[in-house]
This record gives sequence, structure tokens and C-alpha cells, in this order.
Amino acid sequence: MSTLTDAIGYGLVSAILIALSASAFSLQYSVSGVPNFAHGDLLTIGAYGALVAQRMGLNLAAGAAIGGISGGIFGWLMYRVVLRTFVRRGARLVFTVAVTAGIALILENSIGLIFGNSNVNLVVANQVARHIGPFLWTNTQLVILIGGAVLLGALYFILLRTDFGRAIRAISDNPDLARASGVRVERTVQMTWLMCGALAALAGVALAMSEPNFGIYLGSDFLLVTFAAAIIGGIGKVNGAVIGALIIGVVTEVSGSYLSAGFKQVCAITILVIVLLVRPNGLLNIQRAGAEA
Amino acid sequence: MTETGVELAMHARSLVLGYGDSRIIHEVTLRAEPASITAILGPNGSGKSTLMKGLCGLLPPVSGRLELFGKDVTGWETSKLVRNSLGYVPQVKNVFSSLTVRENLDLGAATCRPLCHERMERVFELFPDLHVAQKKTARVLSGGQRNMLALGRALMTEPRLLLVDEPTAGLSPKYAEAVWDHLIRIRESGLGVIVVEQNVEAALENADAVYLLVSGSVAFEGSGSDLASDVNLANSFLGGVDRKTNG
Ligand SMILES: Nc1ncnc2c1ncn2[C@@H]1O[C@H](COP(=O)(O)OP(=O)(O)OP(=O)(O)O)[C@@H](O)[C@H]1O
Ligand SMILES: [Mg+2]
Repeated sequence: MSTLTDAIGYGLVSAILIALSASAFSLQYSVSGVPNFAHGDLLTIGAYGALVAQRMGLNLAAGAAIGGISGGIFGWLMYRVVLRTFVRRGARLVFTVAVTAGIALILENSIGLIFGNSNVNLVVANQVARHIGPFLWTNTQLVILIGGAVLLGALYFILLRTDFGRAIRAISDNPDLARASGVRVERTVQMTWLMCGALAALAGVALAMSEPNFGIYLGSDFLLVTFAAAIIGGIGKVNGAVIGALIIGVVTEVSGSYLSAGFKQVCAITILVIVLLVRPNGLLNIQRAGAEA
Repeated sequence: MTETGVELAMHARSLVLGYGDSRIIHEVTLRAEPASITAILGPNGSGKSTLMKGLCGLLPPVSGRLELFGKDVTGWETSKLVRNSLGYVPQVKNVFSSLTVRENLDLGAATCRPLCHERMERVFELFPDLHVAQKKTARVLSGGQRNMLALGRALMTEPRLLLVDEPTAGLSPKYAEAVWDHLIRIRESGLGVIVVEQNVEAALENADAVYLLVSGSVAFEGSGSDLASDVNLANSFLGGVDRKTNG
């Protein structure tokens, strides 16, 4: 029994990481129509940002902040410098996919050039595991769970209660009507890429904290589960990303603990295919993409 | 100011519009007065919606000039025009269907942070149905309620000139009449209205000025009664429309 509950406990930690990553991916897609294949590298940038901070002697909290800010800046730059031109031109999906995949390669190689290709690690203190209810979590995992939940809560608050969030939802529903309502669409889309870049980077810091070591493919290896969660939930929806993340996170950890860890990705894809066979637009989508909380 | 001394709400001069390489609107000149209803009539595909998109900045002009209350606004972005007293209700997808009624209206008020309560009260006064349905998602509204919400949303931006693309399409005669009543009340409150209408009778009866658009050019402009008394034009065009709307 205890292996099952342990696995579910790990699954929840995984789920919160996937949820952060998938909501960020999903929101960027819903305001701009760009499926960001360089999304994983925003996570990697966050992790390396925290690493740099640690090497400068700062603590992990400051490291997370620096990682988050770096991811925000890179997310914004990606859109502002490269993707905006394609979005405005109404470029077809294949082009934006190719362009973002290209950005991913450039980022990964640049990170490799700067930091070297061997694995690195964040120094995380105090790996004592403790029982909370039926679950067994280390302090680091607890920090990730609580921090992640707080971030998701903040994201919900922004989407549901602020002008910025309402503008995001309006743009993903109907960009022209948003313009006709006086929403500054361009500015809002840029701010969304910034916010989601930061969110993804924070997920990357947490992911790096939960791994013994990591390299330049930290985030891109996480892309598959991110896509799976975002698509299962119905792309463009934060609720959907969270539900998708719970399913993917828990099922992959549980299956990984019984089979081999290498099955996690296979398992994620299997779930994705099954869900899409039954609900071609994802679990929560009624018609088309539209960011709802 | 124009020659007559009355400032026009909107003055489009020799506007040319199109998508990509295809030209849809050819040198259209249109004048809309404040506190009056200007109707645009024309057969399906004649470019009425395209013209409206040009007037509200969603479609940048190929050439020509656009003036809003005497100011040159050629090439301005829609959100900037909306912040300068232009309102626009598109023909299709005219509400945020995934948002609640209240959020739709709140969005309209993106231009007016502190004062929007008053505006919302006024919109609810005009459309009591919306007040009742505040918390509903716009997707579940009936066609008539949807069009009311679309109008209400546009009014929240507090325009002095409102562009409305076919507000009565697909509505029962009773609802269509209610929409026209609203447009007339909106005019009474001092707003200029430019409305695309397929129902020729309603337009001729209620509009102060009428433009007839055929294949992207103005085939007639004048008052409703002028058009009604122009037997040739009326026959060729009104007949044309009737066949199209009934078929
Ligand atoms: N987004 C677009 N891209 C390319 N062509 C378009 C686009 N929208 C409209 N058109 C073309 O422009 C022409 C005029 O269309 P428009 O929608 O302006 O007509 P309309 O008078 O509003 O018609 P209706 O009465 O059916 O609403 C049509 O030939 C149409 O095919
Ligand atoms: Mg039309």
C-alpha cells in the first residue's frame, strides 16, 4: 500500500510542476496562436538562472526570483523580437512551429556554450522525508507543492479578477472584438508572454530542485508531458491544464513506480491519445480554444 | 467643420479597402452626421461589412482618408479609435461567448476605469434583460439577447458614434423592431449611428440618411424617402434584396 500512496504523493508534486508549465504554454498559445516549441527552454533558463544566483552566493529563494525574471525576459523577447512578425502576418501553424523549434535549438546550444554540456545541480538543503497524511514528502517537495499552489492561485486571481486577466481571456476568445472594446491587444499579448515566461521559468527552478542534477535538456525533456497536459485539458484553458496535469502527473508516477521510470513518457502519450480519441478537443473544450480559467 | 458648418461624426473620403490583393471597396465617400442614423444597404457580398471594418480600423485602408469628429484618424488602430469615441458591433462573433454578460460589459469599460458603474447602470436601464442575465455565460444567450449584449458592450465604451453591422439579422420581426427602438433611443441620446441593415423597409423608415452599396461602390445616397421614390433603383435593388433575404 505504502508504495502506491508514495507514488501518488510524488505524482502530486509532478502534477503541480506540469500544471505550472502547461498553464503557461496554454495561455501563450491562446493569446497568440503560437504553440511554443521553445517553451521547455524557458524552464531551462529558469533553472540556470537559479544556478547562477547560487554560484554568486545567493540563496535559493533569490535564485528562484532571478530564474523567474530571466524566463520572463526571454519569453517576452521571443515574442517581441521573433514571433510577433509571424503572428501579425497570420502565418500558418507549420511556420510558427518551425520557428519556435529553431529558437529551442539556438537556446539549448547557447546554454551549452555558456555552462558546458555536463550536468549541474542546485544545492538544496535538508532532504528529510516526512509523512503528511498518507503521503511521504521531502521538505523540498513540500516547498514545491506549496509554492506551486500559491503561484497557481495567483494565476487564477489574475485571470479572474484583474483587468489584465480579463483582457487575456477576451483576446483568446475574440481578438477583434477585444480591439473594439478598447483593449490594448498588442501590449496585453506581450505582457502575457512575459508573465508566462516567468511562470515557466519558476516551474523550471522547481523541476531542477526536484532532480539530483540537470543539463541543457531539462526543460525540453519536460515538453512532452507539458503538451500532453495542456492538450488533454483542452488547450487554452488553465482549468484544463491543471486537470490534465493531475492526470498525467499522478498516472505517470504511479505507472513509473510499478513499471520502469522510462515508461513515464510512453504513459503520457498513451493517455493523450486515449483522451483525444474520446474527446477530440480535450476534456474541457466545448467548441474552440478560448482561455477560461 | 464642413462647408455647412456642422461637424460630421464620420467622414470617409475615397476609401479603398480590400483583403490581400483583392479590392472590395472602391473609392467610397461617406458622411455620417452626429445624432442621426445613417443606414448602409446593399445586396449580400456588396462589401458592407468590409466597409464597416474599414471605418473602425480593423482593416487598414489601401488609400483614402478617414475623419472622426473632424480629426484625421486614417490608419489608427481600432483600440485607439475606440478610446476616441468610436463604438463598433460586428456582424458575427459580436460577443465574447466564453465570458459572462457582466464581463462582456466590463470589458467594454476597459476605456473608463473609475466611471464604469454609471455606464453599466445606463446600459442595464436600456436593456433590463441583461441585468437579469448578468452572471450567465454569453454562449447560452438567445440570438436576441446576444444582439442586445453586443450593443450594450459597445455602448460601455461610451462612443459618440456607433457602428452596428446587421443588428437585426436572424431576429424575429418583434425583436428586430425592439433593436430599432433601441437604435432610435441611442440616437435620441445624441449619438451618431451607422447601421448596416438588410431589412430595407426598416432602414428607409428609420434612418436619416441612406447609402446603397453595390459591388463595393456607392450606387445611391440620400434620404430614405428619396430612395423609396426612386422607382427604378428601388425596384432593381429592393427586389434584389427581397429575393436574397427570402431565398
Ligand atoms: N476576410 C476576408 N478575406 C477575403 N475576402 C473577404 C473577407 N471577408 C469578406 N471577403 C469578401 O469581400 C466581399 C464582401 O464581403 P462583405 O462581408 O463585406 O459583404 P457584405 O455586404 O457584408 O455581405 P453580407 O450581406 O452577406 O453580410 C465578399 O466577396 C467576400 O468574399
Ligand atoms: Mg456583412
